[in-house]
Amino acid sequence: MNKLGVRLKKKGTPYGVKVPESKLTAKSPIERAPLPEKVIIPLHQNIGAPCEALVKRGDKVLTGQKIGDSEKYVNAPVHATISGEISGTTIVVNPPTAQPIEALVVTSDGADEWVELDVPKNPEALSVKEILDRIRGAGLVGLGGAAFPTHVKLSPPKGTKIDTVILNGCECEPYITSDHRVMLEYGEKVLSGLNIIRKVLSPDTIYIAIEDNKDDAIDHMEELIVAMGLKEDFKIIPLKSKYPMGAEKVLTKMILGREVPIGGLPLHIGVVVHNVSTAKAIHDAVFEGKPFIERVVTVTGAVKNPKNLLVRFGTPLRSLIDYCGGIEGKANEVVLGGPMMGFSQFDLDFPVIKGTNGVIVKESTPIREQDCISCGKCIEVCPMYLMPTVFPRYVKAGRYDACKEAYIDDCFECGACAYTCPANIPIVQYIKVAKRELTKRAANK
Amino acid sequence: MIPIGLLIGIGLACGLIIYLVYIKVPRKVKGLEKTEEINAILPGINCGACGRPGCFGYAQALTQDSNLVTKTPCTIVLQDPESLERLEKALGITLDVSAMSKKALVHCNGNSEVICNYSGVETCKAAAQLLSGYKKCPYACLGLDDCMEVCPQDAISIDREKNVAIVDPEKCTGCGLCVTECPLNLIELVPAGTKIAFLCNYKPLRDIPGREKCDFGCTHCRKCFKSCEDEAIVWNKEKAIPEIIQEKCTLCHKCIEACEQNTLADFTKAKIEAELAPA
Repeated sequence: MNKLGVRLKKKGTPYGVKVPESKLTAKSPIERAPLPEKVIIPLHQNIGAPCEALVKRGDKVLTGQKIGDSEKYVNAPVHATISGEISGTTIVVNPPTAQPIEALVVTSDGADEWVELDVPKNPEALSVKEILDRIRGAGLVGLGGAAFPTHVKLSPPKGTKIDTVILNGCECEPYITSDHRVMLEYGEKVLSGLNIIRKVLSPDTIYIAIEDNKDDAIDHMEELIVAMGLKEDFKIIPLKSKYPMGAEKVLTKMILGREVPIGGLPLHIGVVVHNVSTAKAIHDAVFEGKPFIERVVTVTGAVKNPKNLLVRFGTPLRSLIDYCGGIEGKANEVVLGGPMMGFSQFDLDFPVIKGTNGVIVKESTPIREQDCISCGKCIEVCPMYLMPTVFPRYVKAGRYDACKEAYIDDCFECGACAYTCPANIPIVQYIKVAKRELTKRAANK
Repeated sequence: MIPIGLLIGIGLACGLIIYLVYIKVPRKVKGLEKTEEINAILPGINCGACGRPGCFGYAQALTQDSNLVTKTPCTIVLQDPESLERLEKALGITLDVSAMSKKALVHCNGNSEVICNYSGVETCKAAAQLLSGYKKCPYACLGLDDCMEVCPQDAISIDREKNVAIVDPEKCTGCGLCVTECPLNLIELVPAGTKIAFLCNYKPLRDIPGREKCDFGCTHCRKCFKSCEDEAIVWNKEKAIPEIIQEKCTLCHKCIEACEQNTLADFTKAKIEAELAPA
């Protein structure tokens, strides 16, 4: 089992829920999706400040050309993902924030002409600052779902020593297999990206966390690490597959036994967690000078041929679903992201954005909410040791301050409580309402 | 004998303590006489619309700064001439009621098409977080009772056919609780003397694919503007909506007849509509 000396002892957590994995696409190789005729590129795809458009209607753009940027630090620029003409602007509603955001529409000329890529002559010799500039310029954001700009995550504030980097290949969400396939097919690039992260942060230890339902990925990564001679530096930790294993707060607690402080980041306890797809994108940005314009998206659920697709950003969902054979049966709901934490989208013209790791087509069933029977199942499964049962009650009574006292800010909305609730209470939705209300009140003060 | 005597002794001692407390401790807190007086005038329903913790808290605040009544008036007192007179007397100021009296107005005509099935927490606040609601118009009234539940006067009812909240101006005191409660910012406080109401929450930021046009909202045709003979309607070019100058309006109803979308309504008849609406 541990003959190569890379794999550490398996770890697990008593919290969380066991969900049916339904990884329909685990065996299907990554395919390149056909280039769309037009792409919609929202100017705000990351946590932080929105971009401002650098081009105007009628301008010709090339693939990879920067079309939106901002002077703010916490921001990632956006690039044209196909070559063609800016045919106008539109508005899309970003599901996580429900805020209308401006978007640029690029109509393809069919040529897919790239801008000249700035390939470094000697990538190994780049300084830390140059690497960070390249990552910022490529518009990289964390690909786990939250879309936090990567260069910010890679530049810890002065005085903070990062001693551990965890590369997150857990992919605990059911259905989604994009990170799994990235590890299998772009393993070298992932490790090379991890090497860049090591160079920037110079941590003492580096772990690669992979769930044990992806044995082939663990074996593959193990062989690659040995083949690349990084045996001493990178260690793989297999984890028992359980939801939400891949959340960074859960990972740090389980692997290192350190807890992230309330309202804090793993950064504050000297840990940085990166997704495997982000590591691959870092390699592309630094070694190949490629701007961040495509990612692997799992299109699955009630479609004829579920697939892992390499998709340019801005591709409308409709064309992805059509490419996978169209919607099957009575399915009437499209979810962006995983089934546990994803967001429903009513409009199939909505584009794939940087945070989209999966598109799930499913039949929606109405929720019949019943009264809480105080069974305590949600408390058992909560990975952050909260009492989710109190939040719906407080929200119904309008006691938002009490929610804060019950540490609502610690909740990262994994959905384990709502999944396990026998009374079908949409607990996470209540928590989101309370969080929104608390931010609104704090802003009004 | 001894236990009985002991018990009687304890009883007498306790009685003495109670008597001493009764005569020594003052029953009325000094310095609160004026607050008590004001508190007696206030309605005492602790609705919280003035922003103070209950009516007594508001009375305390008024005792310290009587000008507060012009900034955050108790809207229930404003409606009642008798208690208003008493409050004016107690505070020693006179209030201009007609300028301060306001009514809530829901800027939506209802009927906006439902574009997706929503299943989840049945409150507007929760529904509005997902894609600004499930109606075609992202600013349309969702009709999930948030404002109705918060209203201390039971002045709001939901028209279930049109799926829109309706305010009864007779009952409404203009306290503004519903204004802050509505997650889509649909409700506005308008002066009580408003004659014509514009029933659309038009925002320029509207061209969301698939949600371009609500079939029951303002189409910016300017027919109301052209039909008005009293120059009471001004066209706001920036927002592309009509603005009504209530002082000039003679309630001739020509604009209401001219509007094909029924986005203009006679506010003075809103009471009748509210009564007709099924609760």
